[in-house]
Amino acid sequence: MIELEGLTKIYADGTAALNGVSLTLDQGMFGLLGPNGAGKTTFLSILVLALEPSAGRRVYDGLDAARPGLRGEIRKRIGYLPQDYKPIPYLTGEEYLLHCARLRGMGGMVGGALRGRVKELIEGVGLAAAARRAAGTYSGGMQRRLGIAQAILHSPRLLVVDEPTAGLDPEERIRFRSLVSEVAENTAVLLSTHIVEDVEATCPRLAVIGRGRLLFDGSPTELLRQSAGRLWRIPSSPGAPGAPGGGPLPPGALEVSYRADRQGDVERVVWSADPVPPGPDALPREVGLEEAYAAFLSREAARQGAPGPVLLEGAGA
Amino acid sequence: MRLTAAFVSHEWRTQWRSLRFRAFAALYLAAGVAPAVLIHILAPRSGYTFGEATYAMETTTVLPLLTAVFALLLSLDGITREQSDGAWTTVTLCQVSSAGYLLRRWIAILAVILPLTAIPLLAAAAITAMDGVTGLTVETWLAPWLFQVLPVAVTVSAFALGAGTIGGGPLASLPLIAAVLALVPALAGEALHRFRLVIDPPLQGLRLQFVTYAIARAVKAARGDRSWGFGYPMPGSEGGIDLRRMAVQQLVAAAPLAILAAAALGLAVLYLRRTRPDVRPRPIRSDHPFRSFILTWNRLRERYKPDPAPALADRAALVAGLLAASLLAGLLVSRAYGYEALAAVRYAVETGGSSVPRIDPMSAQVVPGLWRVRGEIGPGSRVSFEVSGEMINRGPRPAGHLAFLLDPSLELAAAADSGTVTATRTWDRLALELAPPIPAGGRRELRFRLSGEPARTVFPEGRPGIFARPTFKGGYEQHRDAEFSRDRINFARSFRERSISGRKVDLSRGALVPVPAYAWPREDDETAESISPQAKVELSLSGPAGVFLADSCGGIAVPDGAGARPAGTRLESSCATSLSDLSVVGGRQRLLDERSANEGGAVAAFPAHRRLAGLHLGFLERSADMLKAAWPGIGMSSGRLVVVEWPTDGDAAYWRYHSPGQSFVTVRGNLVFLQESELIWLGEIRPERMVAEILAVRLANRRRVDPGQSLFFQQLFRNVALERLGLGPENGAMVGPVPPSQYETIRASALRQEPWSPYWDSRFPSLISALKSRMGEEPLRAAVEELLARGDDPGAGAGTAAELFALFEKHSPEPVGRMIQEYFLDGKLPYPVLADVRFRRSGDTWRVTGRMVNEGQGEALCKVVLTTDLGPESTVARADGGQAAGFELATRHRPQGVFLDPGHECHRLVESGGARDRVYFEGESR
Repeated sequence: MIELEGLTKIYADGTAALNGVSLTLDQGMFGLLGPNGAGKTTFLSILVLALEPSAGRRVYDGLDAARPGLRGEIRKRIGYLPQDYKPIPYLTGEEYLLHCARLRGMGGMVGGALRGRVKELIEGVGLAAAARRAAGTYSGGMQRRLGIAQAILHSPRLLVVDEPTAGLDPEERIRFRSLVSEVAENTAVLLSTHIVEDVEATCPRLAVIGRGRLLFDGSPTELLRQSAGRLWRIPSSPGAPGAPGGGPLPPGALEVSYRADRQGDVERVVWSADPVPPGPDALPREVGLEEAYAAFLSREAARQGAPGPVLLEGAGA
Repeated sequence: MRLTAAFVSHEWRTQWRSLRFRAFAALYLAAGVAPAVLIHILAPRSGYTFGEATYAMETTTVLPLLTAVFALLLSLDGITREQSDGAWTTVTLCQVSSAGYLLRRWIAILAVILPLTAIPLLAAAAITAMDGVTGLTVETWLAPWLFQVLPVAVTVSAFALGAGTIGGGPLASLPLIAAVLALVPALAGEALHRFRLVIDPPLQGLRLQFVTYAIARAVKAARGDRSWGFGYPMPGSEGGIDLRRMAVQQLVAAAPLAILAAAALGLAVLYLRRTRPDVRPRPIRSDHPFRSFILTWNRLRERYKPDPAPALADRAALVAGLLAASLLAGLLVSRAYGYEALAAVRYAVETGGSSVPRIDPMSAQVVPGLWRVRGEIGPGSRVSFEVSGEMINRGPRPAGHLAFLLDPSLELAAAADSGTVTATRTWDRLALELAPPIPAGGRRELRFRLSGEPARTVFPEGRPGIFARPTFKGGYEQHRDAEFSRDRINFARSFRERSISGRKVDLSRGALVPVPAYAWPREDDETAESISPQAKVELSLSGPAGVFLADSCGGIAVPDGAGARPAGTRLESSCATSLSDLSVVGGRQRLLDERSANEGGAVAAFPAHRRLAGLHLGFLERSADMLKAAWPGIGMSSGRLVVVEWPTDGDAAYWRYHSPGQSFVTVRGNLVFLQESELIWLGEIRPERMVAEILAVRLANRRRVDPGQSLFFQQLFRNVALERLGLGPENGAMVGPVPPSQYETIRASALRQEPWSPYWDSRFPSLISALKSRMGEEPLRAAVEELLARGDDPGAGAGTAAELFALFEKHSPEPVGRMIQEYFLDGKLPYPVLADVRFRRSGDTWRVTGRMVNEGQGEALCKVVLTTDLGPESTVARADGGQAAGFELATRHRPQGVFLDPGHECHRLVESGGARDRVYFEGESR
């Protein structure tokens, strides 16, 4: 079990990136959502010991990271696929994994056993055909898969993957999601992403970070429940009062998002505090995790006085 | 170990697949092999014969710098490439400690660099063999790599890896490296100055000045420029290598960078940035006037704060790095203070300082009798000698104080056959106080047991003056009284030049026996010590196997290289020689021809120069005849002459220029040292000149002379010998033409002891030529012979110039008194010229009149010759300084011209410029 308590990070220039985040991670997939600049990467860096927190406690299977002598043991338990991961381009996939395996020590595994493990992983991530090719020539998806292979080489207790599907085509995304899910059968996997669909598809539990704080920690159903019966769509036209979506909303209602079509028609998605339509034109909207997440962020933004709606992915022109 | 191997194989694989690395490596190898290729091209034009040492030396001149650049780039690339890769986080999560990672990275980089550094030398060796040089030795190629290239690769890669890690990227690392290399020595220099210490620049080991010089030489040679100065290549010595000396010198030179490297690598374990530290926040107001500056400062704080929570191994590595740096620094400081203390002793001894016991030279009346030396040379650089020496008191009073020169590195036990001996030593001086003293006319046998590793302590030179060459005394005083760091001497660079090393065996001047000291040698006047009475010497020494040995009695020990265990060599000889000349020398040399060695003369040269020596020194047998002809009775009767090729030390020794007053050989007893640089020069070695030098030394050894006139006698013997062999000055007795700027220096007394004066080159040879013309060759020889023969009388004192001049007058058929007074003693130099020359015809007779005007000083006594269609007419004109003498000549034949001293027998000055000592006939005068 990984216990994180009150993690706080204030950078040298005074920027507070994390503010008292506490989480507990165990077996299975765990999604980490948050808008850009929310502190996800800072959180992950602290989690994988790449960054020292200003305050807080990290305990990995009972090993406290505050004790320098235990960090080696803790590192053994972590696998990490960073967002900007690139394998060493001159090495083939197989050579690269072998190098990583040797660096990792792999519990004294040598020679044939080490090669066997590497081969097994290469096949596992679907790179057997490209194993002898220089990793620099791999596509983005192949590189990510190789990245997963290097991260789980040593069978870590915790696998942290940061934005693993960004920039991948849909097929590659689906393949990657299943790969990570397979890993999660025996490992705690923290999947950090801003693609809600990935979390929806794989994670039984998720957390939302915003402005350095942990805003939500629970299951996707819980997040959905918070918006169930409170989301409405209101057809509108651009430029109408109450921009960007149109006219004014009744008290307690929040504009979550809007969709624009090619004709310029706009559909506003609105969250209302009470389960009553926020206007005469309002129609109930089916709640998906993406909308629930967006509604959650809007509520949090409104609570903190920040601007509102987001243009949802895939919408509009 | 497995992990280290993984690092190494990873580094190799990654580098070999990198185009950048292949480009670097190709450039490195091309530049590294370039010297050997240049030698291959340019050597035929250079005028020298080159052996493998030259190829190795020129290659290792550039290799340290190339290796440093290569190692720097590769190490920076190695550390920053992986850190900037997206895979770095993978590395940071490995269980290996930061120290373990850095150490293995360093080893891996070295594993890539080191094999490459050997390739230029291997290629150069192949080119050497291709150029026809045979018998290549491993040592010649391995030693420079080991002591000049390897330390550079190790220290530069460690330093670059450390600094690159701390810097965190090439852009930050390069300025950091430049700043450390420039600032640390500057700051340390000022701090150390207070403690009488000075630090060498960290890049000293790269020998940058030699590289730029090599490039300049190569460019010069490639252009075909044969002007003054070295061309390309510069000859390297085939004499072998003193490995220990080379190691000490090179490692001391590499030490400053090694200190920085150890510290940088140690500190780098805290800067691997596996975990970025938390720094105290320093918020900035958005309207703060220094917002940008503070932002940058904050970024730097985050970037350069050490990694938090270092592991135990990292802390240990940090301590080990700093400890290694401190130990190295301590070692340098201890060397510096140790040698400074030795220098202080030497200084005090040589300047009569009160901090050391004063030892006075001994009376010249106490002379050595029979001296026996037995013992062993070796093992290694050690010696073990039993010396028994008889000292005879020829004075009228008892003598209880004896003084000797003795190598300070040798341990001594002294005793006498009767009475007690109290020994006092300071530096190289040894005093023996005998109780009771040796009575007048009595003798005492002394027994010495000498053991240890004889060596000469070489201190770095001080800064040279504008005109003065640096002396030990001047350098030490400059260091002692230094106001600024630049005036300090880095005594850590001192070293011991062992008398027995892989380069040579040179047991002489106190390294073999205590040498009686009648005056202490002076650094600024090498000619001051001249009392060296002869002793009867018997040598019986065993030497190490495989080493050629020769002694100054003419004894030779030929190494027996045959068999699995070659036997040691043995020297057995006896002769009469001065103890200051008694030497045992040798090394790699081998005899050219053992048969000729049995016939009174031997030549020993380095194996690489065997053929060359045969070509140049084949005249040796003839030399014996020439000696007999030049000075009857002084030929080979005093033993076998051994010509030994002697390794040229230091680059400066390859300046082959010798002024006429200098010899190109050195003679000690029957040993003749011919510098290697003389032998490999493709020009002819003139046997007469060599014989003249040998003759001069042998003459000088026959009688001690007044120390205050030693230079005069040294030059006299040399010039008399040269005259005897027909090698007198080209212009005979005529001095010049000389430029007016030299007039003052050549108008000087011959008894002035100024060894570097142009007098000895420009005037003295002409003076001896004039004397020979005036006295005749045999009377001159007879006068010198009589002076020297008086030395056979034990009661004879030191020879003096006055005694010699009296003998000149005695033996000369012509009066020479005035000549001696004016030319030798007063330094006067006449300058006669012709004036008012008239050609008049009276009947069938031509009358030629004129004047010889002496515009100089002293008597001009010169022949005036009138040449005609049918033979010359001559007369002698005599004119004092500032005076004129008329002359008249008559002939019945048509005149051609009047010439003053056409045979160059009259001692006179000739000015540069127009000739005023001849008038050509151009028709009857009006």
